[in-house]
Amino acid sequence: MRHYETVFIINPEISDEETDAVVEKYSGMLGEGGAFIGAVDKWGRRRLAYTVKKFNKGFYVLFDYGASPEVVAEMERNFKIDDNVIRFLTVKQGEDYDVDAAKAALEARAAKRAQAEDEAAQSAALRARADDETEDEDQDDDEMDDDNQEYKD
Amino acid sequence: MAGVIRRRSWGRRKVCRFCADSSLAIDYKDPRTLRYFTTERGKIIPRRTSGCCAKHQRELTEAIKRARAIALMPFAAAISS
Repeated sequence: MRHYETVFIINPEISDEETDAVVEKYSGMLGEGGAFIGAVDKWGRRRLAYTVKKFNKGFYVLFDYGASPEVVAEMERNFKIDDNVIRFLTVKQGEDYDVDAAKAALEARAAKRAQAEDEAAQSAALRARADDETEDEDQDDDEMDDDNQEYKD
Repeated sequence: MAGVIRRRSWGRRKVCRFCADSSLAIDYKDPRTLRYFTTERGKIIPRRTSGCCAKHQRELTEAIKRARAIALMPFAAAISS
């Protein structure tokens, strides 16, 4: 299993659901071929440095995975056929792909995200409580404070 | 990086930025760093000007060319005026 990284650009004019469907399609294709996907990173819509197939913007997606060369070739063949994929680039990162390490990294990232969300929820709750305690004047005032805090975040 | 420090004449010898700062990575997905090593028109700045060591200049050109391929950087920028 080799370590690959593929960046591809999806037509920016299709809806978010369709974009997700395209990403699903190719990650599914990799999965079927026995690849292990370490990361799917959606960069979102970005300006292209030059016009590609008459598009000035594109939805970038990054796959980081371990797979055999045939699977990559198959995916690239489909990229060429698919009208929604306007550009792609695959880079080999290494001869070996450590599935266990990738799994661990994936879990660590998920845990970190969960923790961050937890902390955010906690601090939000704390702030809400602090607001309740300090300001028991007008309801209008409270609402305004809440609005301000949202902007800060 | 262990290496021979070259001194031509007594001028200000430029040091390879990537050797000096190991936290600075060369990555084709990071056009903001790479942009520093291209002209406004998008040409790659030569080693004699950028001061990069051979190893890093090689990596740099590779990264810039990859970034160009997926439209993160221009092959040739239009004259912006």
